[in-house]
Amino acid sequence: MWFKKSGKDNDIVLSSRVRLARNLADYPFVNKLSDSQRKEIISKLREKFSEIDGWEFVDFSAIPEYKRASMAEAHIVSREFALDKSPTALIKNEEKSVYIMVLEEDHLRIQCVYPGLSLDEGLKSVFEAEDIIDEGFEIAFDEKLGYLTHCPSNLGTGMRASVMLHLPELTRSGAMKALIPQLSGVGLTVRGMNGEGSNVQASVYQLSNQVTLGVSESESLERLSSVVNKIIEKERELRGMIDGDRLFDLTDSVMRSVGTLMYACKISSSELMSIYSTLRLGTSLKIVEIPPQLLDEMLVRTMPNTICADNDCLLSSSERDKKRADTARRILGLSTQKIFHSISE
Amino acid sequence: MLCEKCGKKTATFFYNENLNGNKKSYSLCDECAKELKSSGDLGEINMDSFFGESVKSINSLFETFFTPSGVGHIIGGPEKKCPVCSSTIREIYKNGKVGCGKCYGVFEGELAGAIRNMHGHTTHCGRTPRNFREKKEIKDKIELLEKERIDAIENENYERAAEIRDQLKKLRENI
Repeated sequence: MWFKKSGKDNDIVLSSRVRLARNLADYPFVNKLSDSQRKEIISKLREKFSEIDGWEFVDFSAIPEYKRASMAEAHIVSREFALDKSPTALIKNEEKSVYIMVLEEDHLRIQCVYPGLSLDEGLKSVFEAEDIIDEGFEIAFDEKLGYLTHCPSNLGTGMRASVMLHLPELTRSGAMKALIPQLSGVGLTVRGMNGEGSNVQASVYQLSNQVTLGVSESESLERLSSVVNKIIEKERELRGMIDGDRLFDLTDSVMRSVGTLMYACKISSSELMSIYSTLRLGTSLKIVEIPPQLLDEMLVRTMPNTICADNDCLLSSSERDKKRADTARRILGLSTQKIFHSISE
Repeated sequence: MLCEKCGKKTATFFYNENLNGNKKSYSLCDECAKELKSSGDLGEINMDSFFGESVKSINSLFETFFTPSGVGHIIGGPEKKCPVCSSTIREIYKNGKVGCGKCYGVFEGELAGAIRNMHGHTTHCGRTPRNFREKKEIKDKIELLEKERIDAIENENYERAAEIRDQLKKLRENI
């Protein structure tokens, strides 16, 4: 999983994701598939990938919904795919870096998530996975329109690359509000942590390419990287200017956040988000020493469906809040000093 | 279907909106749609459901519709259907998705404006599938051999020209 390793520019970049939308030429697109065609596609892909070492084929629709939703929380599958009740499949590689969603919006969505800023590696990995499919199937393609996709917004390369960034200082200064319309003007989209339609939480933004037709994959990644690098530079510059009272106040917030994590009996999802953002900034300013990827793991592992998935059962909101406090403590290796007689459940 | 405003002409403009759960749909003729647009009655409507985020307001939607290749120009007559998946252009606009790869060819004229507005480009550049690459290599080779064959004939090297002709025959069988 991407948050198990550190990556380039990890002080600001959580992860990089590249995904390709592909369709098989011999079938209509997903909304027009009959039940038997759905089964046929799943069965052909199962057969193809069973021949290849290092890949696992999963009957995705057979997994309980909260476990599927937990994969969306970790950004390895889309939310729409996780909530789809129709027969679907998931193909993943051993390193758990490449995931192929079968019968998402397109027949195939080949997706790769890496820690930090690593778009080129992501593109290489999805192309390698695509080569396997290209050897066994004819992919829907047109010389003029490129890869043919269910939604015309993905025509051309069918490639969507996105970078997840933690930008607390650009948010605080109001620069992000001004920047978002400008980014749209250069063909980039800014979204919240959970993609389309999600709000910005914990100052985490997803920046992705909007245009897929008429711009090659490498050119698209180059454009995205150059903007991301400028944003990183500006966020670091603002972080470097934190001093005096502001640094003292921030240090106080970081200490309080650690205190909450150490001693709280329950933590809500929104409180955890705020703690995450404070500690991620605190660690980059060397106020505390917690590897950023450990904070990212805490963020993912304390999300509602992931808490349920890790406990193998559906939990109520208040049960999740209790588990969230324990999980965050466990991941960060914080131990509660034994000054209390007991912590009542 | 007749225009729901004037009740006289054929509706050529179909549009659904869902604004905070408040659903509305319009089936209008070319003229009534233009009239409503110019009066501002359709106003700034959130069009996220229509081709995702690319078409943000009714104004930009109209730009799409009334470009020379837009759907506003298919007036009257039986509705065209994709021979593979039976999709109609109305269905495609309603869902924001095409039914199959063939639809892009069948509704090329109707979709061209929307595609151009979305991407700002009309022609793919980048990766191609294996099948396409192989076919392109063969086509390029055929082109070269054709030139070589003409040269051979001009130089009265008929033996070489015949050899090339046989090679070309085999290559063409592979496309």
